[in-house]
Amino acid sequence: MASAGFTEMGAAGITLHPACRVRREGFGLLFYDIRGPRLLFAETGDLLPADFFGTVRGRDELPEGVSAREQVVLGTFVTQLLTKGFLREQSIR
Amino acid sequence: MESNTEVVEVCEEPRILEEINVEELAIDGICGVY
Amino acid sequence: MSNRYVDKGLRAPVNLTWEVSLACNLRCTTCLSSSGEPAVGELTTAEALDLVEQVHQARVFQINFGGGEPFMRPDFEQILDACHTRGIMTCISTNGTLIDAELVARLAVTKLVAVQVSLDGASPKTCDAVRGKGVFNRAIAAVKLLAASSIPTSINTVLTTQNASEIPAMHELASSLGVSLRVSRFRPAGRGAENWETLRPTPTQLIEFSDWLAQSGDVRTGDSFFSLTSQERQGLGLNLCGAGKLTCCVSPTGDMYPCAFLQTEPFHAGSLREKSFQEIWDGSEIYESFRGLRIHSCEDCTRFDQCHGGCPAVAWHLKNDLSGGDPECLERCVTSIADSARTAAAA
Repeated sequence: MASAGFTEMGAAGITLHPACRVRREGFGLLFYDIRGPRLLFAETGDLLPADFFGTVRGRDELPEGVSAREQVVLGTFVTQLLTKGFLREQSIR
Repeated sequence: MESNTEVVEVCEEPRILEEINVEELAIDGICGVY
Repeated sequence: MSNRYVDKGLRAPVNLTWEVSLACNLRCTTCLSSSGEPAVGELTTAEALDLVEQVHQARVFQINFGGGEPFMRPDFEQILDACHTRGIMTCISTNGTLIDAELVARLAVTKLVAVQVSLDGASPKTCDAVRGKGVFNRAIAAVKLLAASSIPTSINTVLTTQNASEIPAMHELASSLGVSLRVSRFRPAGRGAENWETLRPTPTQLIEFSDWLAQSGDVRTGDSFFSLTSQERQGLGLNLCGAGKLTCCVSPTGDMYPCAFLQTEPFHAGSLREKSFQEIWDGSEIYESFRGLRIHSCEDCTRFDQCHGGCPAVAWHLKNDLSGGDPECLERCVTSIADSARTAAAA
């Protein structure tokens, strides 16, 4: 039996938008978006390394060792970054 | 000679993270010439 | 409104102005660098590539290249490639005369480059008076090539008394070519200083430009007109001097300065042939002074929150006082016009 063409949808992940860059600062993370251009200063402290979104991550994926409270707060922060366009959704596969 | 050194230990409540403050800033070159 | 994170100091600039060479095939009357012949002792290719690596290590986001004419450097594309392979975004300011289809095709391969073509009038007559005979047409040809590519492109105009009335026409020209318009402030540096009195916009022209800018939200200024910023444009860009805080300048010889308009000895922050980029950014007393610069003389002004005292470089060049307040700010333009009117009435 011939199989029909099959496309497997990749799971949705998130990653830094190609027009954006991010680096560590004393307060946390500094994002740059060349499309504005604009800057985003985020008081993440030590919670997130700058390269965390350099690879595609699962939507709820967070660094190891964060507390339950921090997970909630970081989740809100990630949603903010998505809404503002610094992060974008991308297939994990 | 006796030294009178008093050590005071202070216990601080760990700060509970409520939210991550963010501030957005529009720029248009930062007055780079080019 | 100033930003507290900027006030506390950043680990590196957000962007960097790098004048890669003073060599230029033009002799524009407004040139802030008095370009023409290369400077003595310009960075070698190896030194330039090493600087790119240092800038990358510092995590500077973007390099704005200028000069002189960047494409006069035979190794300029090599420098660009070194930036792009490291993910550094670049913006090139060029006179356009050396741009051809093959170059555009090579630049378009990366998605990390933007190009600004200098054009100082909406017509050959106005533009060529500043940039030289035939330059308008050559620049337009370059703009058309770039506009047909995927490279974000803008026309960059330095506002002078000669082209002030043509800015709306330049806006239309840019739109018709499918590119954006960027208007930069003329400052008394380089050949600009020699031609300052004949080319500087009048107070009336500056106010008219400010009014026009307020209605033209798509026009870029590179944050160079914050001394004239209207309420309408408050949210569109930085309204304070970023020198030493968010940006700095590297000269063709590897000397660092707060900005391209202050490339003189009193403002020499350090030499990349003696110290590293990070060492100079972190430890330069010049940069420290700019980070702490407060223009107290302007603090009582109603517009202080909008302009923070304006451009220190212009204040330095015209009044020999970095913290003296921008002589061409909106308030001073209004005052100047009122004074002139009173003088005329009294005569």
